[in-house]
Amino acid sequence: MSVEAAALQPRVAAEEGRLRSLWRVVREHRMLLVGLLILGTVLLVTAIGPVLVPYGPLQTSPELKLQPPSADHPMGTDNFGRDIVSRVVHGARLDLLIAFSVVIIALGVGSLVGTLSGYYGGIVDDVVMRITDVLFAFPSFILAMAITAMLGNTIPNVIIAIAIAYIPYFVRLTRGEILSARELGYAEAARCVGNPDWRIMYIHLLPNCLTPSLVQATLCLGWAILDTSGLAFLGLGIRPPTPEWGVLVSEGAQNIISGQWWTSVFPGAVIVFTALGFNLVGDSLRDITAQEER
Amino acid sequence: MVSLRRYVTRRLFLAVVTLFGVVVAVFILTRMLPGNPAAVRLGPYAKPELLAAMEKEMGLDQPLPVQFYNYLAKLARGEMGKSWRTGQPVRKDLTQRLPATLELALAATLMAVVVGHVLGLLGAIKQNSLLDQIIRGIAILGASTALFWLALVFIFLFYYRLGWAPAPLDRLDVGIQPPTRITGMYVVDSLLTGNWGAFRSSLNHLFWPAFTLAFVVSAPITKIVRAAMLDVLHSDFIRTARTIGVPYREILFRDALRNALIPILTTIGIVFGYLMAGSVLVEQIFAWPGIGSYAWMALVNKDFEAIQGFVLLIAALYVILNLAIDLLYSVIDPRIRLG
Amino acid sequence: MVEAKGLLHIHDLSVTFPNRDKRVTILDRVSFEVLENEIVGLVGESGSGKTMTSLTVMGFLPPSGQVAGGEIWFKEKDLLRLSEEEMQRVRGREIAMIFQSIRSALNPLMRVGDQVARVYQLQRGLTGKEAYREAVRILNRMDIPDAERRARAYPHQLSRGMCQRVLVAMMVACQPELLIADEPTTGLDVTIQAQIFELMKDVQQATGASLLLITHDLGVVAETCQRVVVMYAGQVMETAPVEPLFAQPCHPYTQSLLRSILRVDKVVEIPEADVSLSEGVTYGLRGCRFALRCPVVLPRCWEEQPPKEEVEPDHWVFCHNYG
Repeated sequence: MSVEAAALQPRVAAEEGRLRSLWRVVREHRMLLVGLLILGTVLLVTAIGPVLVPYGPLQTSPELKLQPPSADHPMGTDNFGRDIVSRVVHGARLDLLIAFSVVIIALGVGSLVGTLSGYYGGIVDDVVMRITDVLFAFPSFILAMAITAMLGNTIPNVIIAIAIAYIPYFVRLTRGEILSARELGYAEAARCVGNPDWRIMYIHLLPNCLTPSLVQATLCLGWAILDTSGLAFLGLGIRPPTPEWGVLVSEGAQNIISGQWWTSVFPGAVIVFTALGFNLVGDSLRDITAQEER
Repeated sequence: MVSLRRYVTRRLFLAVVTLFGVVVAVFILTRMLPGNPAAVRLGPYAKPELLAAMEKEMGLDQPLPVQFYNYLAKLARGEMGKSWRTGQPVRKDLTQRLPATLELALAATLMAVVVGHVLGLLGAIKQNSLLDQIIRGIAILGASTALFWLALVFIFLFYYRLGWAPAPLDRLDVGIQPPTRITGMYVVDSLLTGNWGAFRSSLNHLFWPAFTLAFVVSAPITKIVRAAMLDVLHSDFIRTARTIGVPYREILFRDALRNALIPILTTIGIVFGYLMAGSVLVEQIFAWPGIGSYAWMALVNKDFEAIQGFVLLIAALYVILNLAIDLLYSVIDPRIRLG
Repeated sequence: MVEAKGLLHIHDLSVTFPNRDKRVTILDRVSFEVLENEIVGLVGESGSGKTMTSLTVMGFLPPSGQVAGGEIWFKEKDLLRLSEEEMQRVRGREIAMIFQSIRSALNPLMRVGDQVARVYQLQRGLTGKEAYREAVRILNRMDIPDAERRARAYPHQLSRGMCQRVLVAMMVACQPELLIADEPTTGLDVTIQAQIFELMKDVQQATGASLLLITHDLGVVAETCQRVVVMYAGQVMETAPVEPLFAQPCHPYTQSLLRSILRVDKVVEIPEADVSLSEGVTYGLRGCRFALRCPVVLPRCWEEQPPKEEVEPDHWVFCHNYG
C-alpha cells in the first residue's frame, strides 16, 4: 500500500448509516427521547390495557364506592364503585382516536387548501386568507366549544369541531411553504415539461412542503387531547358514562371538596402526561428541523 | 409618513373585513348548521306544535336571508337577542359580567407576563445551562397542563388540605358586600373607595383562579420571550455592539430587549386567546360570575342567543386587540413607520 | 513562551468544531503576525479559515467551537487567556472589526447617527450632544454626502454602500490600534468597492493603525496591502510582502493560485475549488492539507507538519519542498 493510501486510511470518516444517524439524533435530543418514551408507554397501555385490566370500565359496585387507591384498585374507585384504572385505560382509546382523527382531518384539509392558496395566489389566496383570519379571530377552544354545542354531543361532532379550529394553522403553514417552493427550480422544470397544475401542486410541491405541518401536527395532537377533555369536562361532546379522560375529571370534580382527590387527579394526570409526550416530541422536532435548515 | 398612513388604513380595513367575517361566521354557526336548534333545545320528545312555536320564537321559520338581515339589523342596534335562560337581553348579561372576567384576565396576565419574562430572559441569557433546561421543561409542562384539572388540584391542595385558599365560591366571602361599582372590578373598586374589608376578601378570592390561569398562560409567554431574546442576541447588530465594546448589560436592556419587544407584543394577542378559553373552564370551577361561566351555563341550557353573543364578543375583542397591537408595532418599528 | 513580535502575533492557533460525533480541526496551527502601522492581506478560498481566525481574535468564536491550542498575542496580552470582561475592554478601544454582513450589522431600531455617537460616548466619554456632533463629523469624513441628514436616518433607509460606510465610521471612531476588515465589500458595486478600500487606506495612513484585510480578491490585495498571508483549509501556506509574493510565489498553492488568475480575460478572483469532495480527508490530514491537490507532493507531506522556512527576508513558506 502506498504511503498516501496508508495516510488516508484511518482518517477517512465512514459515511454514517441512516439508522445510526437517526439514533444519534434521538440521543442528542433528550427531550425527543423522553417524549417518545412517554408516547410509547401511552400507546402500549392503550393497546393492551383494556385486555389486562381485571375490571370493566362500566362495571359498578355500589358497596365499593369512593375507595382510595389500594392494591386492588391502584387508582381507587369512583362514585359508582367503578375501577378508575379501567376507566382511564379504556378512555385512552377514545381520546387518542379523537386526537388522531382531528389531526388527520385538519392536516389533510389544511394542506390541500393551503397549497391551492399558495400556488394560485390572487383572489383565491385573498379569499382563503380572509377566511383563515376570521377563523383565527376565535380562540380555538371557544370555536370548538361553539361548534360542538350547535352540532350536538356526538363523537364525530367533536372531531369535526376541533378539526375546524385547527385547519387554519395548517392552511397558513402549507401556504407559506408553497409560496417559496413554487419559485424553485424543480417547480419551474415541472411546469416546463407540461405538468398540469394539480400534479405540480400535489405531487411535486406539497410533499416537500410538509415538514413544518408535520411538526405542527404533533403539537396539535397534544392540543387535541387537552381540548377534547376540556370539552368533555364542560359536558360537551362526550358524556358520562362513556369513559373519557375529561369526563372522568368532571365526574370526580365534586369529590374534591370532600377530599376524595383520586377520582379527578389520576385521570387528569394522565391527560397531562400524554399531552406532555406530544409536546416534547413536537418541540424537539421543531428544534431539529430548524437546525437542519441552518 | 405616506407609508404609515397606508399601513394604518390597510390594517383598519382588514380588521373591519375580519369583523364582518366574524359576524357572518357566527350566523352560520348558529343558524345554518345541520340540526334544528329548536329541536336541540326542546329535546327529541317535543310535540310538533311546541316545536313550531319554539321555531317561531327563535325566528327559525323565516327564510335564511331574512334571518340574516334581522340578525344584522339587531347587531347594528347593539342588540344580541334575549337570553332564554335569564330572560334578560344578552347584552345586559354580558356587560354585567364582563368586569369580573376582565379582573381575572388582567390579574392572570400580570402574573404570567412577569413570570414569563423573567424566566424567558433567564433562559435566553444562560442558554443551554441547567437553569435554561429547567425553565424550558417548566414551559413545556405548563403547555401540557389541562387547566380544569389544575384548578381542581389547586383547590384540593390549597383549600382542602392547606386551608390557604377560601372556598371556591364567588368573588367575596359570604356576608361581605361588594364595593361601590366604579369599574366593576372588586379589587380596584374597593381600593378606590377605601373599603378594606372588601379589598382583602376580593383579593383573596381573585388570587387563586388568577394564579391557576397564570400558571398555564406563562408557559407560552416564557417560550416566546426566550425565543425572541435568543434570536436577537445572536443577530449581527448585537455583535457589532459587542465589537465596539458595549458592556453586556447595556446590550441586553438597550438593544436586545427593544428589538425583542416586537415578537413579545404578539404574545399578548395569543395570551388573550388562551385566557378567554381558560376563563370558561376556570370560572365554572371557581364559581366566578364572569362571562366564562355565563357561556358555560348557556351551553348547558342550549341558550343559543347567549352563546352567540358570547362568541361574538370574544371574537370582536380579539380582532380589536390585534389591531391595537399592529398599530403599536408601527410606533416601535421604524421600518414600518417610515417605509 | 514565544517572543511577542509586533502588534498582533498569532502563534500555533488551533480551533476545533464538532461534526457529528467527532471534532474537526478547522484551524490548524495557524501562525502569522501583523506589525504596527501596516496593512496585511489575509487571503484564501472560502472555507480557508480566514473569518474563523479573525473571529477567534475578537473572542467571537461560536459556542460550539473550542480553542485546542496556541496563543494570540496582542501587545503584551494573550487574548485567549482573557476573561470576557477583559476582552470587552479590548474590543473597540484596541481592536475593532468590520464584518461581512452589512445591513444586518446595524441596529434597525436606532438612528444611524446615534449608533455612531454611541462609540464616542463609550470610548471617549463624550456627552450625548458632543458625541452626536462627532458622529456627524466622522460620517462626513467617510464621504457620506449630507451627513447631517443621513445621521438621522434608520439603516433600512440607506443604501448598502452607505451602511458600510457607517460601519467603517463606527469602527474607525473607536480609534483601534488594529482594525480587522472581513470582506468589507461583499455585494457592493465595483465602484463603491474601490471607494471603500481607498477610504480604509486613507484612514490607516492617517491614524497609523494596522489593518488586517480579509479577502479573496487578489487585485485588492495587490493594490492595498503591504504584506500577504495565504491560507488554505485552515493552515497558513505562505506569508510575504506583497511584491515578492506576486513576483515569486514559492508555495505550490500560491503558485497554482496565481497561475490560474494571471489572464487578462478573467476576473481576478481565487476560484472555487473542489474542496468539498475531499473535505473529510483534507481536514483529517496531520501534515500539509494541500497534499491532495499538490503537484509536487512528497510522501512526508501527508504525515509531518511542514517546516517554516524563510526563503527571502520576511518571506516565509510552510512547505516540505523548502525544508
